[in-house]
Amino acid sequence: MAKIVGIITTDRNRVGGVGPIFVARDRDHLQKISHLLEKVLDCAAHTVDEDLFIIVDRH
Amino acid sequence: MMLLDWFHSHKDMSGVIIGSMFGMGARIFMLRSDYRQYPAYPHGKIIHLALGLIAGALGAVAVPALFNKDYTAITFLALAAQQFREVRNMERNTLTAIDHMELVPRGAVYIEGISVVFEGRNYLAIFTAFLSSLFVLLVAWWCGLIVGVLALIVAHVFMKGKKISHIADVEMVDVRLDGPDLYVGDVYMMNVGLEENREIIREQGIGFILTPKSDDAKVTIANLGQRQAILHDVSTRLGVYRDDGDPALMPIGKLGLRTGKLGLLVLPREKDIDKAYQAVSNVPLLEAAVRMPTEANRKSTEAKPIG
Repeated sequence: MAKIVGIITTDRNRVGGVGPIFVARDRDHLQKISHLLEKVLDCAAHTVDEDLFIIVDRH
Repeated sequence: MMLLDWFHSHKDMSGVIIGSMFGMGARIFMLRSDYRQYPAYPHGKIIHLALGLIAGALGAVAVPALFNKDYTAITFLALAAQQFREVRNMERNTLTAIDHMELVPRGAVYIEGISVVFEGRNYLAIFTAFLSSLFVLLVAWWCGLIVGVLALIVAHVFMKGKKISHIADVEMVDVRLDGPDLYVGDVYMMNVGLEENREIIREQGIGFILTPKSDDAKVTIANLGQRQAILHDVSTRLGVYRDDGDPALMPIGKLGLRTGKLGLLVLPREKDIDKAYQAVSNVPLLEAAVRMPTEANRKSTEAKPIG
């Protein structure tokens, strides 16, 4: 089963729970963090909406 | 002339020689390193040529042994069958080991298909050798030659499997991005998060829609192994525009659930549309993926009890 291994958002109040949450300054920063995490974790970044990305592990 | 006289006077020996020759010939004939790039390794080739020679010799020797009422010789054929089953294991192990390091893996079903073919080709080599040897002993050496050539042709026809183009219409369609959602034709493929990946897919992506020609074909192209085989073959022929650590740039195949059509997204290194089309059309149908639901659901077989 796929697992969410990272959450990146520009709005801290929209996400919660356990797991790594990265708060970005703006949408550009959001893309940058997602890019980094995608390469480092070898997991694809997916858009929930413009301000909320998830990194999903399918291995 | 001396040679011909010798052939006439030593029928057993000439049967074995001609039979082995054709057996080995059949194996060489079927050992093509084609676009699947396997076996492209010199040592891999040597293994198969050596086994081909052994297969040919076994098939050829069986005939004079039977003629001389030496029936125990037939047990050697059983030994050969055991050996060739080993070939299948060997191929499976090698390919599975390599598969972990492929950017676009072959998948277990394709590997199984390849190993079965390798085993089958050895039996065809035995069969060719057996037939030509038999006719040398029954008629004369020239008859063995003719039958050998015929057997080669039959073996060639046997080895020609079906292709994707036999069961589905391949059509090239646009790759469309709707925000993060990626569509090939009207089939939803995936959600692409990063803007840079979307850009690459827009530039490099080629989309195909495979429309099944029959109800049987619908089940076959829905098979995950068959899909992976298509993606692997296209990637082998055209290269892949990805590296390790780019999971979003993996070529993928998705089924349009309503229509049963298969959408394919490939990201080739060389964006050659004609070659990509050829590559998809020529992917072999995997034996394990072919299903015949229409045959299984026929009224006549349905009523019969099992067994």
